[in-house]
Amino acid sequence: MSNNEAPSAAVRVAFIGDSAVAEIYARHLSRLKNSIFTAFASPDVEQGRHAAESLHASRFCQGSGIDLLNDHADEFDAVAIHAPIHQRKGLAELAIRRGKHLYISAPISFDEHETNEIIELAKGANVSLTIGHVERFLPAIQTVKQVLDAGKLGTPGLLRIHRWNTAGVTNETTASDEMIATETNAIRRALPDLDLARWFFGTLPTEMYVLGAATPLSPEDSFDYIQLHLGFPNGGMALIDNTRSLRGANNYYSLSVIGASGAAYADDHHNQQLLFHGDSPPTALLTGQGDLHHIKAFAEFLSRIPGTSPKPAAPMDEQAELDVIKIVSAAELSFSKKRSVQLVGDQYELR
Amino acid sequence: MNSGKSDSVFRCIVLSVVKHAYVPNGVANHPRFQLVAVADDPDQPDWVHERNQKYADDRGIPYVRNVEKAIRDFDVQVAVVSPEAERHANLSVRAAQAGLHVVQDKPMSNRLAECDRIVQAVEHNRVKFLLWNRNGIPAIQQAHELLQNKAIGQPRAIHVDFYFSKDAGPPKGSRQPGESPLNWLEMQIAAHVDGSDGGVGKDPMGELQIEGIYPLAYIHLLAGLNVNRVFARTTAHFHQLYVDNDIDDLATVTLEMQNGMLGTLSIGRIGAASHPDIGEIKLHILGTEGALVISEARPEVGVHYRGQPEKEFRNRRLAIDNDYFLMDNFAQAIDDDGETVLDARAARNISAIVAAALESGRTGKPVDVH
Repeated sequence: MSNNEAPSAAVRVAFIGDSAVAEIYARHLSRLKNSIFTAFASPDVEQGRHAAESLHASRFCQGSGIDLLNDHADEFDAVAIHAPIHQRKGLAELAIRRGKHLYISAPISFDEHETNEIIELAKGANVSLTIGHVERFLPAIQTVKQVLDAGKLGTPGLLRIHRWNTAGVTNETTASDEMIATETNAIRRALPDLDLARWFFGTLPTEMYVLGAATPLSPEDSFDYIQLHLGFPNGGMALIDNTRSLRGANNYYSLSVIGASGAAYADDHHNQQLLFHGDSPPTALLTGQGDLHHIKAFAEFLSRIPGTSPKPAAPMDEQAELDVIKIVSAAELSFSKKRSVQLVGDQYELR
Repeated sequence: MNSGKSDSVFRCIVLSVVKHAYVPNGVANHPRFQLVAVADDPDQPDWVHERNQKYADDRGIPYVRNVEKAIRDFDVQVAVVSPEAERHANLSVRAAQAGLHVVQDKPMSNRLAECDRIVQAVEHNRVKFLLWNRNGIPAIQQAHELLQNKAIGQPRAIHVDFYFSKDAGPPKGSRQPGESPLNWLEMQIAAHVDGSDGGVGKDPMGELQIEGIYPLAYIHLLAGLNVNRVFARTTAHFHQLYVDNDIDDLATVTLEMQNGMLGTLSIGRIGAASHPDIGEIKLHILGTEGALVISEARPEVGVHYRGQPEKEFRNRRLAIDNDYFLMDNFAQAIDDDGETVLDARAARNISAIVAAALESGRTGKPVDVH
């Protein structure tokens, strides 16, 4: 079947990358009725084979996914890439050149030109491309976005995010957790929340000021922290702070949006239960939001493939994808120079 | 200078009380402080005299239209200063020059030079000064204790959200063509009925100026460090009154402190619809060995009933003893010649942070705090 034709059966999908994410997909296969997983590629044999089995994928390839794309492209119509960031652009390019619809974890690259290359390549190949921002599909985030889009909060004025992660243990496997585990640059780790800021305000920030200790954990000073202060048109503003130096066993996340006529507060603090045991003070246990956000993000991609859904999702906002990369670059500039930056035309300059 | 013994009662003169009277009421709640008179300058407008007189009548004490005469006649040791912000400095300086200890409403002043005058007068006359604050709230005291006990190691970043979910007149965008801009003083005078008149005066003041002292005082208490530089965004986002008077009802401030400590403040008068209670007030503190998330409102109890008025808070704060805490500290400072929880220099530094933040909001650049 040519990938330019609308499939009449379920979309055959190859999964490349993170076995933990693959297992999440496997738990919810019944919710992905218009897709079947036919292939899986992962560098880890044991976990990879287990994940392939969970996905009912008949093909397992050990490795980065290049062999799978080169040698078995006729066994799938679409590819879901959850590989390490440094591998994504190459895999994306190969998948698109093989004519495959592509779902890929954000970001494809921290380079705006490389990201745009992939977007243009997909358009030229007439395949559906979705850059997956899994954070957007968390129930709390969806709730906030829905009331914002419905006009109930009025014009957004302030977005405030705290993302405190421990160095290794995570509560929920989200894109940001994966990034925290693999990305040493603290500003780049803030991409999911910078994406949310761009998504909520609908436009690029007009100015930024970034401070912090954006160094990896070190024996001398384990404090690893960044704070970003963004200004948006019409007086909008955002404060984001991010660390992976949180002590303890659990992460913490809080997001609030203050609008002209209402506000929404999504705060882990509010969602804690108490466990009393032993002689110690009670332990706070977070009641999590589950893992369906991965599935919903992927389902959005599937619906964009022609013929798979009577109600396809709106096309991916290509400009927004480029914008978020631009924002990260501008934040790095502000941080490195210890100066604020402002948007002049379509580029950021030091102020 | 008036010093006290541990059981002596300080006679207090209230120098103007045109806003909601939480400061003189708070002073009076402590058994060592006794309000004996209200006084103000005779050339004040009628509405000022009316409020002063009403407060005096409610308290059963005289109202004197002559500040210096009242100070002389009533043998007072403490001045409680609560006029419009633009008159704070004038009355506090005069009180200090008369040898009175001063308890003053916030903000210290709406002009930094006036803050300097207060500091000079207080220090030259060796009197005690307390700027009213909320540092005695249970959750803040708990946070302070935890930090003192190194529960999170060395604090490295502190963030405060300080939103009042109150309205301030009609919403932004509601002024029709041809209508006059809303007058700040008139609106503040009208807001007296529900106590939302903290910015009353001829000079309009945004939320950073009116309320910024509270969260900045938290940071002063908990971090104990000077703020060296700020970067701010300020805007009128909610209320036509703030648009018309070119002041902020929403602001965010990045704080760069000594020893590399960082912080942020977000503050706003965000409208009554935006929170079920007085507003979202939270602290997030990151340390080298842990972190704290503090809901400033707790402890509280939820109260819900049929027919409950829409504007009645659903959660009621408990165990608020801030007034007594502040005045007990003030009494002790007088007794022992010690420091108050928020003295003139610290209050002046907070005003300097606010001034720098407002400048940064205008310029879009980081500004050093002087």
